[in-house]
Amino acid sequence: MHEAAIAESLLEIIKERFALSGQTVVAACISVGEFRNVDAESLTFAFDALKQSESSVAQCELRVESVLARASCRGEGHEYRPLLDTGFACPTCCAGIGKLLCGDELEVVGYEVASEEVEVS
Amino acid sequence: MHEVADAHLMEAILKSNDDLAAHNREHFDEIGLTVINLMSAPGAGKTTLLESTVSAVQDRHPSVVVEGDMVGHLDVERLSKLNIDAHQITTGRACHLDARMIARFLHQTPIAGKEFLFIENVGNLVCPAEFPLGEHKRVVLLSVTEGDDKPLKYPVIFLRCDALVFTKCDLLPYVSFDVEKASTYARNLNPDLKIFAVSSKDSTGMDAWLDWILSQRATAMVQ
Repeated sequence: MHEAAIAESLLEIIKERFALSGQTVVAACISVGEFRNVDAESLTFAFDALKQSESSVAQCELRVESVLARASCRGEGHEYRPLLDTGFACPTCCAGIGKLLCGDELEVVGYEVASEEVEVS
Repeated sequence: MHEVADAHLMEAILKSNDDLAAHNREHFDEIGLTVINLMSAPGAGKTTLLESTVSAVQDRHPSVVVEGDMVGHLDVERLSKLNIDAHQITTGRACHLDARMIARFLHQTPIAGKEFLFIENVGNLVCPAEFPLGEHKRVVLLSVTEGDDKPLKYPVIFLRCDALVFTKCDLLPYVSFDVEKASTYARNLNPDLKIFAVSSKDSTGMDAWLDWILSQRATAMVQ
């Protein structure tokens, strides 16, 4: 299951990012494009399993934003959703993908960290 | 209450593999090694294609093969019987080769004087697509005994490869595989895809495939 390898890589990124900050990261927000072979549920499962062995990230929640694919066709440049129903071709002119505009992301887009608690006297 | 810390960049999650793949590629170019990564579902004919391909090129272009399998050495044994310099990477539970495995192979294996490295990836149409190895070209094999709708079912690997080889074409009279349909599906995803139709059994299409392989070396040496 390659989601385990991806989760490992993500945890390394988080640990490196926050190693010296003293902050507790409580959530990592990632984008996963439709044209990536990554199952969000499997990735979250692997992330939650692997994070337990590292106290610095053990509280970190994984939040996955799925990004639908959009492309411009190589016929007349129409923007469209490449779908299996049309063989990923443009529904207007039947040309194939000229450029994938979005949908191949696999990246960290943000983090949430715990604020310091303020004592109220 | 939580603060939000933005990622410094839209940081690619597989950056470590991508960076190591780029490092592998630099090394390949330094030593004049042209690297072809073969990927496919299990049983599509990667090893058989390598038997024919490497046997045809290695007299003039010394070659080495890396076999990626989860267990066993069966494919290395097959190739070794043909005097092909083949080495095994056993991935264990990993369903794909990654750049780190190739880097380790490079450090541990004498490959001086070789001109081609052929990598036979683990039989899998899903995971290898996500892990570049530093190769010059990525090739997907699709046998005519599989479904011609494979590009629809596994779009990512077809989107991210440089060439598609239909294998076992000697069996076309006996199966319902539609080469034109499969080609259209693949090219809808990847317009620049080079497509070959071969039979290792009767050598159909092998000349065009071998010409393309040799042209990759010429291209790699110029760059």
